Amino acid sequence: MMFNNKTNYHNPGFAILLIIGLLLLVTLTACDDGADSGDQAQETEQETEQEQQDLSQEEEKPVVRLAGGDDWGLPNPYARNPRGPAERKVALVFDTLIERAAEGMVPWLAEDWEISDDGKVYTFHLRRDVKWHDGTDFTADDVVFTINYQDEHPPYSTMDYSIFDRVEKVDDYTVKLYTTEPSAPFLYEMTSIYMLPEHIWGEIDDPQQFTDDASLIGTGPFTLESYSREQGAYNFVANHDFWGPQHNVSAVEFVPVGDDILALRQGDIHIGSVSADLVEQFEADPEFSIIERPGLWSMRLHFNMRDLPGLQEKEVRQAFAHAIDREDIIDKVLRGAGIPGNPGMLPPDHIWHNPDVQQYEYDPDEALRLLESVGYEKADGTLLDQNGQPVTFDLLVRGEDEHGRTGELVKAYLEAIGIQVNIKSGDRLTVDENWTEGNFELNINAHGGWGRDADVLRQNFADGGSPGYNTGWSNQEFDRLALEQFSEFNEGARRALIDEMQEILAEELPLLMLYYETGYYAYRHDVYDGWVLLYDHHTIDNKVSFLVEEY
Amino acid sequence: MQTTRRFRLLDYLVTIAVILTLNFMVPRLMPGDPFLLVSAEAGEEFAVLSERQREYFMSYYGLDKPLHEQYLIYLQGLARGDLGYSIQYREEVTVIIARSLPWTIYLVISATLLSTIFGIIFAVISAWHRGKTRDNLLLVGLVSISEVPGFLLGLSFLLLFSVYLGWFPLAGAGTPFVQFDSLLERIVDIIHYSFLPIIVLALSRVSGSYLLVRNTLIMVLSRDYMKTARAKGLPERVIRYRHALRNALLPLVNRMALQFGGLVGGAVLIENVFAYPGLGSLMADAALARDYNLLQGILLVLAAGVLFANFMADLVSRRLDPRIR
Repeated sequence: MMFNNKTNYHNPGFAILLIIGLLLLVTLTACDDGADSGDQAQETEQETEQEQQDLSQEEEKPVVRLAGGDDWGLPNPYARNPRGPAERKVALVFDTLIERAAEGMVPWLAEDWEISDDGKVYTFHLRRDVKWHDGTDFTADDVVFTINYQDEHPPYSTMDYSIFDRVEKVDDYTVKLYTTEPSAPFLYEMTSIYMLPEHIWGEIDDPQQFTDDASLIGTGPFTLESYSREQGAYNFVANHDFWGPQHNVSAVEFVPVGDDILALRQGDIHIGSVSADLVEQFEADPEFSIIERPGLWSMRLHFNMRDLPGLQEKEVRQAFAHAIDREDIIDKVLRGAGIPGNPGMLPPDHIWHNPDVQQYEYDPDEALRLLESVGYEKADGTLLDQNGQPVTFDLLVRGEDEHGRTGELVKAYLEAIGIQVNIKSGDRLTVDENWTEGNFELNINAHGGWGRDADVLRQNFADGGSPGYNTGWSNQEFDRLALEQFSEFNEGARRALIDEMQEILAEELPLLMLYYETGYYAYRHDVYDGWVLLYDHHTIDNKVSFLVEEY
Repeated sequence: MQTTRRFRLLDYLVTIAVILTLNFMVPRLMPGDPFLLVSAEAGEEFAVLSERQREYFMSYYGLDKPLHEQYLIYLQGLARGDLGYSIQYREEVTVIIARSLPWTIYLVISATLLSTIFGIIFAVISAWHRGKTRDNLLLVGLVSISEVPGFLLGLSFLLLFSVYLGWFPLAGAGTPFVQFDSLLERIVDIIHYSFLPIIVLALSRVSGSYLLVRNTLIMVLSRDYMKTARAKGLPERVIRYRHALRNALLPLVNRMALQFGGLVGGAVLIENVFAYPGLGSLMADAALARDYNLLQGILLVLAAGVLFANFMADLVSRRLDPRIR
């Protein structure tokens, strides 16, 4: 009789009902999101009418779609993720006093500025026609507020706020910034301070948790129209009251993308990164144009000179440079889309790159000669140190992608001159913790930002080095030059000092630059072709890419 | 009966205590911390934090306190239903999970149901025609499909159905930035976007239930009571589904419950290929970024899910198997 029991667990009807139920559940939660942004939609309804009038007057401007899919946080200076794509989204909504463009720094919210003779007082003259997205005027009070507020509550920013002594309002459109010491890179650093409206943030005690719509009121060329966190989708629309250059586009959308190439081909996105293998295909396609990215993202080999006396001899480090064929690594790992590492550290695409520094050709014989000059010898294919012990190193490297492949090739090249290498791999933070704590022998690591002001050389290598770079190398002459350039306001004189610093680095090799990755963008030029690369960066989704060049 | 039930309850309580502690400890035992910003992903840079900024963030999120204090704070928050604040996303962990969880439940349960139903149907056909062409074809076909890595299967489906045929969208879970006029349109949109991810996830799982049911069925078919059923002159369909299949379902139910946790992990690849939202990729990101609060929140939800699935499996087994009742 139990067989008569109707337990239809295997009945497809039951399953279909369940799926429909789940669908409803998903739909309802998704609708809630819609309701959240509904307020915003209503608020902008009136504006939209005006926008439509504006639009009918000017010609139709394109909506540009880029690859999204990751949640980089709300685009305000406090809610954003610490990484680059998040900052570039903040920059669409918020402005800085000075901006970076294709050829160099340009006046932005500040029309011009003067620097006092001692280099410690900056007088900024602000634009008078700037309004916050809610219609309030942008004034000197906002600048004073922003700097004091961010000093108290540091956002994710490369700016070191300890440089500020105090900030003073002179009149509604003039501000004086006092720095604790003369700083040549100060103006550059100012390009990363996004101005906040005092009338909104002044009431916020905990900026980390302020995520209302009001937290997205900036002065920037775009406003965030809609945002789906779980899909990583952002829709920025042109702010028609923007004070600055005209818009080239009516909206910028970041949409979820599984595979850049497929999405680009299908027209789901209008620009995307393509690998070197595929770039020819896109070049041959009349619908696409190609932009080559500058090489400002580095892969480096670090030596632990603190714990390993062997690595303290510069001949040994120079031998590494001769032993490793960097061109070959670029061919194999990046399919040619890279530039060999420059021993002077600053990449050839950096505006202050010094090409006349010591170079190290791939030459294993020269590597061996250098090693023999300091007492090593090679016997039966094994390199022996001064005590006759075989030379072995642990190489700490991330397991993934190009890190792992670069590690394997470095190992092969070192083994070719008789150095035994054991690879130790982990995820990013595992490698980084061991690296910064000096718990490694050799380390391969990477980051971008090598187009920044040349003061990066001081930040990374002077006074024993920054976290990760503090691997036991120091050089008094370098430290002296680094300090001198920091407060040298004459550009020619400063550049000469930076040139000298690069020469020291190239001879001393506190680390070995392996390569700078380049790569390509392919874009549909019939949709939009106003893409601009900044003079100091390799990504295309910067705000000046979407504005008419007239600053 | 009484004693076993009390033991059950105690079992569950101890399990939960152990899970809570592990959820708290394991992420913090991993090397690195959320504010160790010294290297970047491919092509990216990061905000270099000064020592002062780093200390500010560590103390803001209470990460500078001794571990046992952090643990107490975590338990106190938990008692209030507060899972803390995500370091990476600057948002309440409960809110983040509540937004992603429905997508995962939808994806995983739809795929599990589809793969189980088709697994069972194919298994019955196979077992009935054991050793014949039909059985061989199914066996080889289904096992081969399941051996193809999920992302490869996903990419091939994308190429075929989205790129060449243009039937389905490439990525995402719904048309972005569109307000729908009716609920129906919204549902159709969601089905349209979820079709390929669900099918691919179901396909990569179907061989598991297929093989299990097929093997048990083959055993069951040789039992005496099958002969009795035939002797009674029952119709073939009734014998096949009610007598044979019912007895073969028991191990399948247990397997489904045990697999639940793994399924969410398995969804990560599918979520990546189709840029589909969900807990899987969220969990992977949280682990990589050492977003402790978010990670322990997701692990807690998953653990609760597995416990619940086990509980349900117990209930269903009771109904299917009179011996437990």
